Amino acid sequence: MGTSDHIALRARGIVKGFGTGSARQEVLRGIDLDIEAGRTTFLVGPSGCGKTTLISILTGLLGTDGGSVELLGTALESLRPAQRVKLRADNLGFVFQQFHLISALDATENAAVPLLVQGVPAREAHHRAAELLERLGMGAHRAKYPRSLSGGQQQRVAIARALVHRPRLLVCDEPTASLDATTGREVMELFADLTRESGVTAVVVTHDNRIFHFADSIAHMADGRIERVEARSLAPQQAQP
Amino acid sequence: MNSVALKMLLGDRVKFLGLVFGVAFAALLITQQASVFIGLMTRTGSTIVDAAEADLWVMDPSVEYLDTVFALRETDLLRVRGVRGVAWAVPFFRANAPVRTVGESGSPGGELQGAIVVGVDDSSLAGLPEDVALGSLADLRFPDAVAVDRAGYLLLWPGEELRLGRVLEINDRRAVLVAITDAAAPFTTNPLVHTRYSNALRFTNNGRNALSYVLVGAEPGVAAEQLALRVHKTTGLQARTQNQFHWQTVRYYLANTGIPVNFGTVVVLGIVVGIAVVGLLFNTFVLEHIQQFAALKAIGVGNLRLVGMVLLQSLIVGAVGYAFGLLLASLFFELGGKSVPLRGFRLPWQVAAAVAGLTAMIMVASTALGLRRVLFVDPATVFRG
Repeated sequence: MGTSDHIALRARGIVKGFGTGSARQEVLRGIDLDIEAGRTTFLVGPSGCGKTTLISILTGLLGTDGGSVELLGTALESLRPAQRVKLRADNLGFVFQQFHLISALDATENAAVPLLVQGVPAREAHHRAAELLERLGMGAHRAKYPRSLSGGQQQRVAIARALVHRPRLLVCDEPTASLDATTGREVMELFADLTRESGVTAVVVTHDNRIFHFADSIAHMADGRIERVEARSLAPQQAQP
Repeated sequence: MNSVALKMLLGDRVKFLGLVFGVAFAALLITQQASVFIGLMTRTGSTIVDAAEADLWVMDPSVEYLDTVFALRETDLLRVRGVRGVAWAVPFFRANAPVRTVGESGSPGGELQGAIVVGVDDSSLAGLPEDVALGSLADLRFPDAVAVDRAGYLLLWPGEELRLGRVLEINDRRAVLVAITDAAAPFTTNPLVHTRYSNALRFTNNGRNALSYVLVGAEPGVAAEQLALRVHKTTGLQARTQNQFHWQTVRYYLANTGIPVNFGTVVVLGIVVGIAVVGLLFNTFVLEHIQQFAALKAIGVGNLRLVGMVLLQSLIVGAVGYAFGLLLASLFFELGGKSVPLRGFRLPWQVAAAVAGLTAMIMVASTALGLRRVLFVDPATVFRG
């Protein structure tokens, strides 16, 4: 519990490489990063700079070769795999670039999955998921399957799935990469509204500079390092009651 | 999450049906072949089954199975009757002979078949089958009287109604049909002719020393196994209980024919094809959903729960496929059992239970690879576009 109350995620000296011997490639070369609670932090940089690796490590999906990560006050290194899984299930929401919706489930069922993982009864989970989809403008599409939805609609379902269990940290991987400019902007506006309302901490990995204005701070990555952190607004967002 | 697992499985209907078909095909093949094999082996001792009232079968010590006999002497019958604990002992004759139907005009030249001629004790008629389709077995006491089994009747008079009083020639000797039996189906499809012992000797041109077996009834309270030992000790003849002799005959066929190898090969092929087809399809199913499984892992679904989901999917495929395969096998025996060649074949519950176990084995083997993929999929792959 060493993380200060206003720091949701702290990384110190993160080192990660892949391969062995001459094929070894260092991807992260000593990352230090603080993500402030209740704010939206963008992690930006060119392809191959290590964004995906870093986000995988910060969420406990990937181990490190060195350094430490404190996620919501808990040192990830101290957790057993099952505890990491529970930490993710209870506290993290994910929006993936490729959405990764379950093709056999309709929009409501997809959005309800994190609640089912937590053991919420199916009826209640579906009710809460449907409410959230309604707010995301997906009321008419709640019973549709992913193959019947446009990219923007699928992304809204993915956002609903990421927020339905009221996580403390939201992780978005290239949320606009699979969307056209207009839809991308709409989705990000919706995303910003919801994160502002809920006070959730958000980490967004992107290289789409058209959406940088949605960030409270931007961490610029290059060649496996954080080059600089740019603050876009000073006051942390307040959660609405 | 079980509902999610089921929807993932049922959502891909083509693959689900393919998986169910694979399991059903394997279950059908194994069930059908195993049941037919058991039916065939049971048939090897059909004459033993028909002579249900006999507690013991007494025969020459060299006899290995029902169909090859070494004749006893008539005096052996008397020796057996003298053994303590024997309530009754009667002669029993079994041999093959050509049978030809005789037309309404009295001229021979109809259907010619090789028949199994069974001769039972003239006075007691002990050793006859219990089920009679038409007529009365008591009428075998009339001169030249014979009974033919229903399947044999249809071979001798194809497509004709069951009718008594018809005339046959057995080894050029006249015989009259007085009853039609529903005897247990023999191993071969030959007509089964039952007659009195004296008639049987005459029909088959056997002279002295034509006694095939002695059928024995035990006195009340005397165990058949103990009596068999006593008969053997007293007479030096081979004595077997009904069950022992049936199994002895079955074991002979198992050891000396290619039947178990042939059927066993098909059963093994059923298992191998089942594992190959179902395993391939299940692996494809998992591969096609691997990113969804990875996403579930990232979201916070633990390995244990994922294993549970995959095993549930496997269980559903196995159960539905097995049920479907068993249904088809049951239909085969229900409908096919009414035909003459397949009469008496049935699906024993033991086979159904064993195939359930084999299906479970097929599913475990088929699921193993897919399960491994799910367990080892890296959840971080969901971040790779």
